[in-house]
Amino acid sequence: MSIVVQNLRRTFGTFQALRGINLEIADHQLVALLGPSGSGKTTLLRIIGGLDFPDSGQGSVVINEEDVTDRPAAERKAGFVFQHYALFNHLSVFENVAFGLEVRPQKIRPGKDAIRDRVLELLRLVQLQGLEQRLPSELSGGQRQRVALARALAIDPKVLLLDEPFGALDAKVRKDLRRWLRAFHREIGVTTIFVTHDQQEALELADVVVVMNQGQIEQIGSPQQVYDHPATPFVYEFLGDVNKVRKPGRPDLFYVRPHEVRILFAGDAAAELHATIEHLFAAGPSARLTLRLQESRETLDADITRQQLEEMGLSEGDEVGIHLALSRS
Amino acid sequence: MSVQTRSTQDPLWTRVLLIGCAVGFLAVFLFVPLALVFAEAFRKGIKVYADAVTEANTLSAIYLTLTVALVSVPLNAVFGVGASWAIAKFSFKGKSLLLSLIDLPFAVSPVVSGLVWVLLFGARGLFGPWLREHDLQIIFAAPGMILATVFVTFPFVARELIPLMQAQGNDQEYAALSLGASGWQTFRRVTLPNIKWALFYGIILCNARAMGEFGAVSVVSGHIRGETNTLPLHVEVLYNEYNSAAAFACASILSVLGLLTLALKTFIEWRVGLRRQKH
Amino acid sequence: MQAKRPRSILPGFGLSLGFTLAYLGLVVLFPLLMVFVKASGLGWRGIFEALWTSRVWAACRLSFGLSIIAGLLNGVFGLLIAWVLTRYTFPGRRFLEASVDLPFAMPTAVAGIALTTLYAPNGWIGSLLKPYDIKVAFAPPGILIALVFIGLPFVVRTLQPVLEDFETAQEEASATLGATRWQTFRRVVFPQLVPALITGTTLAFARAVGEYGSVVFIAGNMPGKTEILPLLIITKLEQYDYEGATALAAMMLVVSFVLLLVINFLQRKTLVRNVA
Repeated sequence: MSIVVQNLRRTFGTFQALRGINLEIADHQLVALLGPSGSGKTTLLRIIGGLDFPDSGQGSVVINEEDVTDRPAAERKAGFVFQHYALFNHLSVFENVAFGLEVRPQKIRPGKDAIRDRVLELLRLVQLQGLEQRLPSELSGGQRQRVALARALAIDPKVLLLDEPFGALDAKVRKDLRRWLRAFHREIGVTTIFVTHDQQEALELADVVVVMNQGQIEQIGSPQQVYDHPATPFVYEFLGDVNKVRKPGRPDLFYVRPHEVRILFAGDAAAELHATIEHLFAAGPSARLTLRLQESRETLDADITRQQLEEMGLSEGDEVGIHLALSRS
Repeated sequence: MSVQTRSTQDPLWTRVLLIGCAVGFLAVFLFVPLALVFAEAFRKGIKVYADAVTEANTLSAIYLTLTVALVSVPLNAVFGVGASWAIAKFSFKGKSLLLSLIDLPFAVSPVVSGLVWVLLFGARGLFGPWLREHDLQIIFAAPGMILATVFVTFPFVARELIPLMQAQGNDQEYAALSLGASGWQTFRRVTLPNIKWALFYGIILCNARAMGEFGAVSVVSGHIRGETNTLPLHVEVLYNEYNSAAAFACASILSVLGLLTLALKTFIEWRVGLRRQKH
Repeated sequence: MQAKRPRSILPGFGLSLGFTLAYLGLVVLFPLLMVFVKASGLGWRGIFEALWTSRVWAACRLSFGLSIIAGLLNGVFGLLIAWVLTRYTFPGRRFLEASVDLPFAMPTAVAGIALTTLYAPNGWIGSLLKPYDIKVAFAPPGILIALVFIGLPFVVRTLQPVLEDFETAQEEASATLGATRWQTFRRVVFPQLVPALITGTTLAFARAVGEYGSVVFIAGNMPGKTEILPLLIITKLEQYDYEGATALAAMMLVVSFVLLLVINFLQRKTLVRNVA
């Protein structure tokens, strides 16, 4: 189901959380809203879900060709998974998942057996069979996350919205769940938007990454696009490591990723710049050099292969030449 | 603000209705009786009021009330500090039982709180004969009223200090000791400044109850005008004599005390956020 | 109470704990113990005879019955007031918030004479009710009003922190799942308030059973009709019926202790739930 957001603005007091957001999301996509805290990504998600509203008259939200801007959350059928899951503490796992079906008006409420079947099916889908009678307090973080997901899916949502889905989990669980979620999305095919501040997560998981900063969208594109062809300096800096360098005699700033810095012998004719190795750290197949440029006294990080490091016999204090394999300036 | 209803917000009509109910309930149960106290006190004019307040028996009741509070509040304040030091700074067996026992006087009817002292020191009490031999009077005299007041106000200071000191932990005290401070210096210069507002808060509540206590004091008081009547008991005597204006005049003094307590309490809460405030 | 050797370098453990126990013992425990010592002197038979009279039975029914009703009323209105104070912003909210403690701060005797004068047949409210033949002061409804007055802060103050800490995301989750506001309150919020609500109601009930000052003026104090338990103790004392007073006091203490245990249990349960 498609989502179209047009010219959305949201102000909290004097703080402009969203300053004119335009966004189109096609069916079945898995979309990441990526940005630092305070960039407005969660506000945008909440407005799409009907938990918050744009400033009056400022923008519209259309889900599946239906304008839902003024619709309250209860009427939107958007499955929302909260950052800390917001499971109902007093209800069992089963009752949590069944909640959305049981609060339906009598006319469209499924029968008891139908609800039961649906809940058990969902719990199977999120691999929580056998935990129906547990209370949320008796579950691990990853299990709670999946209960929240099953609960959101129970209402057959038109769109699934996840707020920092892995934020409250430890690193190991996070990685497992990430892999699982991608496979899961492929299986259910519901258009899904998730909010994250973790670039790794966004790049690995999403079909489309929406990079946000200070209430605006900086770039929309596939993970490959936004990483390799950042549209703005912000995107360049936010996604992956980056060096800011000035070439001698030119005023403009260059953005160079560490792996794009080519290390040459000091006397190499191709060297554009010259530097001293201040620090050297080698672990695994690559090595990280911290260089001090002789021309501008700026520092620069460079990643080279372990093989190159050994072939060139580099050590701290050595002088080297540099060529910047620039993808973009 | 947007026109839409947030999913955590009640509809306007609900809000108006519930606020109306709450205000109405509080008005009937709290504000009207309070207003009545002052209205009745001044109904016969300022002169009658002034006479009632400055009458000799009233003054002696005020004097006794202050005496009782002046003895019992410091006692319980010292106890509160000592108890919270032991409970919050150390771990020992039976701590939760001790905590429950400290709260015990709150659960006891004021009348029983007075009665226990009669059973101990009354004419037919445990120490009654001994007291008579030595010509000492505790019950139906000021000492008994102080004891009864100490009993009912016992937990006030301790229960404000204990949770606060538990939450603050021992790190600052450890730091002070490691810097060479003595135990007493640590308490006076590190602990005490950290708990002073809570201590003050507890003392205010303790004092309000000490000055306003009626049931417990009533049991042990001799009800002798000008001698063993505290202000609340004096109010009762006047009221039962159908001297309504004088009774309410004295009641108005106690009401001002209550309002002052509330104001100070609110001020401290606002000042230090002792009780968590919203937003 | 056996003190384990504290594993703390802080000084003053022995002194502060010793003082605490000594003071607690002298001021609270020993006097309370006296009640039971005296009562046991009466023997079971004596206690039974002192308590098994129609006058005591009537006072028990009145005190416990009205205290239960007052507790329930406070439960309803306390929840309403706590909800309004934590959830809504409106002019005068802070003033209302502070005034909830008025029954704590106001001496009970003052409340007693004020409520009596207010609801007496010629009082501000009493005179309004008189044409309808509703008698409040010097009748059970008057006692009920006094008990509601002194119990109100307990429920409000117990519920407020729970409501303040309530995770609003749960309400939002409920809304996104299609629940109406009422369904959200009834199925999500209210069940999680129940432990605190019971605690507050029990506190209000416990206070009401023992309350004396604010009730004694408005009660009418007719033996067998409007005589509450604490007053009966005083009456017996004034008649030098120490045995009767002691037996009654012992019974009330037992009730207090049981209620205290219940409240402690409930509070621990509330705490555990909040932590989970």
